[in-house]
Amino acid sequence: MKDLKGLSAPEPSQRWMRLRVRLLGAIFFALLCAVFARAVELQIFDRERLESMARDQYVREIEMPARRGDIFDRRGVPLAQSVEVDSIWVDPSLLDDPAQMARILAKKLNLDAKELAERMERGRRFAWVKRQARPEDVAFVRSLKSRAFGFAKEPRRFYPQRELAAHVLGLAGMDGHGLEGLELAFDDELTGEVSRIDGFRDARGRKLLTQGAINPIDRQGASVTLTIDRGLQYVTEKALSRAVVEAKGVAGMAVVLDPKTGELLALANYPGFNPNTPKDTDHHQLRNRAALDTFEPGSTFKSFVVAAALEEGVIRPDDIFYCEQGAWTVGRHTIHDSHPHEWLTPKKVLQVSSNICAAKIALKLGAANLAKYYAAFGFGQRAGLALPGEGKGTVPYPRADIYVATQAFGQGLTATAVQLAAAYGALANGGVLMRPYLVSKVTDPDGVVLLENRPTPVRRVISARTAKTVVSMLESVVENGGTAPRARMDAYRVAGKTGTAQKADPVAGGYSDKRIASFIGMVPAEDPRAVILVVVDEPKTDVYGGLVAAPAFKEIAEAAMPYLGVTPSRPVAAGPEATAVSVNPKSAAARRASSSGPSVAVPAVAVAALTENAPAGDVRVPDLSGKAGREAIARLLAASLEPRVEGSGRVVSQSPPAGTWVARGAKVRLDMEPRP
Amino acid sequence: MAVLQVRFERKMLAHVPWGLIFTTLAIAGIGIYNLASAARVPTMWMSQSAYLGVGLIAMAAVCLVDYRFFHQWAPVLYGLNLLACCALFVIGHKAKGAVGWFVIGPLRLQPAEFMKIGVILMLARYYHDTHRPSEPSYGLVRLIPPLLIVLVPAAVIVIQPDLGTSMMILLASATVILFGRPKLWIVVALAMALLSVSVVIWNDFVRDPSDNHRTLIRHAMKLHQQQRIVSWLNPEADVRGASYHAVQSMIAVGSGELTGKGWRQGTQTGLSFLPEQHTDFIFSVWAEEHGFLACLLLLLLYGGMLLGSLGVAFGARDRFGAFVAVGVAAMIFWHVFQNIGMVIGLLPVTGITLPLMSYGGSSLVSVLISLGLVVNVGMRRHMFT
Repeated sequence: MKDLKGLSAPEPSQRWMRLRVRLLGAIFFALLCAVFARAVELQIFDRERLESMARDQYVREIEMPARRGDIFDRRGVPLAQSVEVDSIWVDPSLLDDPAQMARILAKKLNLDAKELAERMERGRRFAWVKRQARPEDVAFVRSLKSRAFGFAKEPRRFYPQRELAAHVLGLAGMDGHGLEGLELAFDDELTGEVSRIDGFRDARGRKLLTQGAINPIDRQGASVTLTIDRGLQYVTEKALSRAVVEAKGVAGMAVVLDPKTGELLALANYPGFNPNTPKDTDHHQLRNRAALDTFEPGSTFKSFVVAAALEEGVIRPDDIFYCEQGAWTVGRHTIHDSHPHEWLTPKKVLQVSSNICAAKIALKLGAANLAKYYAAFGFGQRAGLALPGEGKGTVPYPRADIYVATQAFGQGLTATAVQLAAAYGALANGGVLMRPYLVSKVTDPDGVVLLENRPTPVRRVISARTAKTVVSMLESVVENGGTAPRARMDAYRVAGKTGTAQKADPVAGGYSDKRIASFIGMVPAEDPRAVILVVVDEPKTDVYGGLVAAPAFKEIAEAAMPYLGVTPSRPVAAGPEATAVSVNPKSAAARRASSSGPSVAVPAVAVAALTENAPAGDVRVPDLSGKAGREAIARLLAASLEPRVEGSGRVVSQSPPAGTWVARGAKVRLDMEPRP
Repeated sequence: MAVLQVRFERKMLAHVPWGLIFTTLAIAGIGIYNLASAARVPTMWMSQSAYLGVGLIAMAAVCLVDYRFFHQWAPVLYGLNLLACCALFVIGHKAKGAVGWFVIGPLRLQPAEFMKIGVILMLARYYHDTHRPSEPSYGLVRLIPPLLIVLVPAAVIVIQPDLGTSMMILLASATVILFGRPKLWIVVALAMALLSVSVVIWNDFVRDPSDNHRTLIRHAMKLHQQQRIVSWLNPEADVRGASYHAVQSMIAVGSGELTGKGWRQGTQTGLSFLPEQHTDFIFSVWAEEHGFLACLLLLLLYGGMLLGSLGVAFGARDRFGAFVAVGVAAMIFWHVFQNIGMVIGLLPVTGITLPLMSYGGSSLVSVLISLGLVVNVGMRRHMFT
């Protein structure tokens, strides 16, 4: 302790001081030991409880919506798909001049500059610039290389076939939920199960998937397969729109139905819309009227009256009825025919579509039987397509004779287009009504079938014999002297019926001078493979179904028959183009005009014998160069050829080349390139 | 007299408290490393590193000057600091409802942090100057000046309001005053007061309330005051409300377990369940990410630092040096004790920084300067004048 000698403080004080330093050190040590003990308690003894408390608050079940399922046509062509699209957002606080940036973005991205600027003003730290942006938008924003922008993947519904079958598919909104049509009807299935995964979240509840995240693409909702055939749907929509435009109608609908199974092969509405840009469309335009809305069908109902009367035995095919020279008074009302007739057989009644004689047959049948048969054909009950808002039609019980009379020619009752097609399907299918359906299968991503519709007979409505008789009577409709010679086909026997209904006036009551013109037919008549209904609403140029709707029917049927692989009913007069069915109705019409001969009602057996001996279905490959992909495919399908498409855009080459004769069903390769 | 003596002699090297310097550097290094995890923004740990550099230079500079210079200039330093604290009310920067900072360009200066040094120096000077060998213990009258030295700045700081810093000054000063040998009856009286407060708290808040005993003070307190005490005593009673901080930090510490979750892997920190995790709750980040063993290491380092400071006090050449070393040790101890105690749910939540670990330039620099003073005292323990 030699060093201490110079210190000013005296020795005892120094000792006291050192004592107190030790004391202080001891107190500090004791308190730090308390801290240490507490740390031991927390980190050693309490750790499991605290660790689970920590986990409880940061681990959250995060709901990951599955990718919305696809919708396919009957051949597996996608009609609706989900794709991941970038949405662009911005943190306006990181921009030097938000107003200037808003102007630039608005110009490049096709946005409203003022609205965007306001959104950025409001957002402060976050504002959507454009949701579900186009790839070029994203590329432009990325090229700005600004920290202020961010991109978020959002699923977007994409309809690769654009307008095709748009009404059937309906729409899914930006949030990925169905708003219309099948998207709405099968929303639960398409949406799929929301997968729950454990993710981390922070104190503000934001999702933070640091690990174990499931790529949402991996999860998918169920896919829906339709009975619709894309090729037929395209042909049907084209023919329908042509018919409506030519007749200057306001709307139209068309149905193609397989009578043996009840499958709806095509279901078309006019005007159409592009579901990829739903904003441009009025809401009422989205409605699938062919499946949902009811209308007064008109004379197409006469076939059911004749069928019922024959089945009940109240008339025979060779009975004759007096048509009262075009005007007949029932009670206080007078029924008119469009042309005056005198004595007609039931067949003639259908051929010329006499209201008066149809009414007389119905009166002979009786109100009870009429109501019974209409119900048996499926009217007044929902067709059961499982679409939301599907109408069932009203068929009031005809209490007075006048109602029996009017209902006989399809006025004073309503039906949907699908009901009508299905009921004709019953005539075409030997008297058995098949349940019409639109969705054949709903399959989840693991391949489990959630729902499958199979052909379902509803009931036998009339005997096979009666059905055959009525169908053969209906064949006369398309012959000369019938109401729809324009529906006659060269290669196939057609049976059909026109309808020209007066539209009820919802404001004034009673009927207006507006019409609904329709034609429903089945081909080939000897063994119908397709029932085709075309309805034109409020045609202006002509009002008769035989003039307005029948050509569209023929156009659809001409494409559908070879497409469905139906052998022609009768050999067609020579010419290399004869078997290659033209899609062009004008040339077909021209050909028919020149070759309209006495080829009436060749017995079906003879036809079959003839066609079997014909050289095995040779088809000439049409020239498709320069055609748009969709049209080229439609023409190939119409010619019973199978398209193999490479690329997209327009056809630049094809093999085998145009004009080659190939076997039916041969594959034709189309090389396509985008339009330069 | 008042000469700035910058002198360095070889002899000083032998007495440099290396342990104190080592623990200081170790804790400061851990602090930067931990801050880089706690505040994921790189600017924070970088600016803290800059302040560390400034602080170390200041520490070295303080070491070079003979500490008796501070003895002479203590009243001036104290006065300037007090003036700065008062000036805050006029030109201070307002944040979160408190005036605590001078903002000079990018710098934010917190004068309260430096006030601590002023108070320690002033107290040390008082106890050095007023020592009477014949009457070594201090009675009530002789305690009036030190009480004034402490209470004036504490009052100024408490109305900023910065309750935490004020409380730290009071606790550290109380330690120094008790160390300065008050009369025994004063010590006894203080002990009695502490005991009675404990009894009141136990009676009013801890005892099972079902037996309807009389409360002593509780019925006179406002509801939010009661809640604060309740949440301190039983943090898990109200997890989302009053004791959110306490519970979250306990969860952080506890879920660190033995070896921790790894640097930047802490979920409490990374997912921002813990507010203020880079300042007052920095210890929970360390505990969560590095576990029990690392906590033990940090506690040992702080223990070593205190031991080093007390060692300097132990061998100090004069009373001034001893009181400075004790004051600094007490200041650091109470910060560490209160901060860690708060983080692990031992003490109520107050805004106290953890020396050398918490983010904040003023705190870092003032702690380093204080330690520089201690090193200074240690270096010059056997110099003759």
